[in-house]
Amino acid sequence: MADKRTMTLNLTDDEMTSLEALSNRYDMTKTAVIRKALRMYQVIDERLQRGDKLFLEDEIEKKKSELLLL
Amino acid sequence: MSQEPITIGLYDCLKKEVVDALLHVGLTEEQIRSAQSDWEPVRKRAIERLHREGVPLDVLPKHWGWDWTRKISRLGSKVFGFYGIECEGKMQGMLEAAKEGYLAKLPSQKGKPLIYVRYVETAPWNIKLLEPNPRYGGVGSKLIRAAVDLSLEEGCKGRVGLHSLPGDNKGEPEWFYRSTCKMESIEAERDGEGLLYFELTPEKATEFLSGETS
Amino acid sequence: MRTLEENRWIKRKAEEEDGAFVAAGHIGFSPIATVAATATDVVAARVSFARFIQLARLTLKLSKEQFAVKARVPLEELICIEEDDAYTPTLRTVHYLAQFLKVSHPKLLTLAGLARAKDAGFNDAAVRFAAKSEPIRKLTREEQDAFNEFVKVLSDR
Repeated sequence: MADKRTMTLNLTDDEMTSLEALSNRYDMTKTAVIRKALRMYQVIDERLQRGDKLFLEDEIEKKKSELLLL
Repeated sequence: MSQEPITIGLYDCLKKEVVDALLHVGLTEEQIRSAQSDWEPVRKRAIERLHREGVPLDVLPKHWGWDWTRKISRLGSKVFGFYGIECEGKMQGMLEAAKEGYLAKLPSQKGKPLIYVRYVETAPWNIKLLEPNPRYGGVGSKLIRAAVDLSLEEGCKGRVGLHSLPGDNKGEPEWFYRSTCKMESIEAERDGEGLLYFELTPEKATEFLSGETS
Repeated sequence: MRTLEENRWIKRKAEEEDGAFVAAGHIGFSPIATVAATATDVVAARVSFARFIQLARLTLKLSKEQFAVKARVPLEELICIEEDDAYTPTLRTVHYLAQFLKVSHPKLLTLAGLARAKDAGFNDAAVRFAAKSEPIRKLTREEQDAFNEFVKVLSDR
């Protein structure tokens, strides 16, 4: 396992509520949720830097809509 | 991306004892190419021999044309993890796992993230169906254990999912995942090729890791 | 360093496993199985398609980037075609590949798994081609010959 470093994270009440909701829904620790979110952000960021776009697809309607990241 | 290999044990079927092997967490292009060039001719010859001996088509192992070099482009990805077990200078098994994009399907775990095993294969000389006197034992179990450990590390509590190659008789893939790995199958989640989906719950993952037989 | 507990675990698991065939993933291509193939034709052809495109690119001595530009296909898709067993190419990409490689568009569609073969001979040719083309870095003489022969099959409109 790779060495880990510790940091303190300050979140607003809303952000903490969202994090707790995700943690409960997915039965994961809050740390695990944040690590997953960071990885997904890295993957998406790499693709955006290459000029790709991120779309979400409605499977039933077969419609695509672009997800903008600023 | 790879870390330092970890010393593990494998069962040496010739010496009838547990010997040192290396678990590689992360593989290089060189390791994959080397494994493919070691495995492919042995695998193909063995399956062709079985075919000539009259083994029915639906029983023959279905991984005749597998090519691990086609996965090389994913080696650097943060989303995929590659594992290999090496002993006596040769890869004895490899596994590719996806850390993102897959959620559990068993009713008790539905919607929770898991580690999905995209590919796993043990070297052809370790498979009794292909080689009557397998060289090393426990390679498959050790690879699945690596996936379970990854699941725990990722906060997925040991949940692992995969689509098994066909065969539910003793010694065949579906039997292995059900009996040895304590996984549960879901008929309705067969993939486009008809492969049966298996999943490991956190409770069964604990049982698998403890080595208890039930 | 191995612990006693780990040794016990691996011995127990090796005994349970008893040389089992351990595999998970996609079936991909099994030319032996195509002797009696029907619905598996589509899956069986997919690996021949990947090998054909890869060999065509290597014959032209092009990198993936160069080939994608010249053939006017997305680089991402070319990578998926060559490296992802489960990937089905788009109709547009197969059309442009057929144009660039000057082979029959309908036959390349069949090879890509987007259409059914009209004759068993085509499937047999695909089986023979895939059986002769090993995973490669550069072409061997046998692979070059197999590739040239298969191009003739695909070019026969």
